[in-house]
Amino acid sequence: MATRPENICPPEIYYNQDEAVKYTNSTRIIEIQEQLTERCIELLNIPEGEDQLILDIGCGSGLSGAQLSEHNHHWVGIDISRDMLNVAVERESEGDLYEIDMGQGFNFRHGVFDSAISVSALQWLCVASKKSYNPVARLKKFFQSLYNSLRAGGKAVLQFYPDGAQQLEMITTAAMKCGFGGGVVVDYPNSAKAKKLYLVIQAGGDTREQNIV
Amino acid sequence: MRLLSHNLLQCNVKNCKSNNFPLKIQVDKSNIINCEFRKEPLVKLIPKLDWNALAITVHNLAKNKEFPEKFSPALLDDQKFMQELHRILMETHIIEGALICEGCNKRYPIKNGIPNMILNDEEV
Ligand SMILES: [Zn+2]
Repeated sequence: MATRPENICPPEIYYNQDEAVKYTNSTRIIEIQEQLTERCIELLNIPEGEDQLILDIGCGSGLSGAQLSEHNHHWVGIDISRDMLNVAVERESEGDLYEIDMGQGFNFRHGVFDSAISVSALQWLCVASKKSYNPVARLKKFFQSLYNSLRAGGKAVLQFYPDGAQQLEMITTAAMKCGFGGGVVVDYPNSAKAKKLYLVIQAGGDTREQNIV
Repeated sequence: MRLLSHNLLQCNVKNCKSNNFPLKIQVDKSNIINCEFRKEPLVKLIPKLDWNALAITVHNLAKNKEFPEKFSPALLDDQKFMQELHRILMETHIIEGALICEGCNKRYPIKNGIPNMILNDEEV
């Protein structure tokens, strides 16, 4: 099995300038990121014609954000890699970008985001790439911040690559402890290569659905 | 960084709970980047705004004392005002400078349009 990048060094160092440019210019990576983002948007299940304000966690060079813009959503992107964010600026991303370590938590006002997505970022939180890192504490900070920043009933779809069942358990447990409901959606479960996992979670009750009933 | 997302953001330092919003903006360089004016999405964003914080920020930045301190629904029909609001929220980009918390004095530098919100270990 190939070495996983999150086991080599922290993301802000792994995604340096060279890596950020390489990543964003690879047509294969662009295509995969687009597909994953489209699936995240699909799983958000946003009513037709509703433009939302969406938080993009680990937005990187803005590949996922470009898809959100295509769908007319407003978005705010956060990432720990300054080099990736600089590429996002260069690509004239339409969303606003913030250099934030999601494991430190973030402090957007309560309930301002309608939804959140994350493409291929969450697994970075599971490794202690610095001595002071406690993955369980960092996951807790992250999910608490996410819960606070979503409106009641707001959904988050987080695609990630867990390094086995233990990491998956660690992530879902952290989300549920912070009050989220939901579960994991697995696409292509029988293909080791194509298999993709999405944590689909919701902050509190869905007021919108209750209104319809 | 645009003023739209600035209006959503509070200081992230541990135990900084009062006077942590809105963050004061120090502008060294800003830019207007034109984008299409679409009224309906703009109107839908208004309930998400903290209008008072927006007014404080605009008054500080532009010395524009005409920006209304309170929101009123009549503003939605004021085409000139809505275009001004679009320019403020969607087209004004802070490129270089800093965000400063008046509660704890934390300074978040802005470079290349991106605020650096990373905390020191003791601030988490
Ligand atoms: Zn503060």
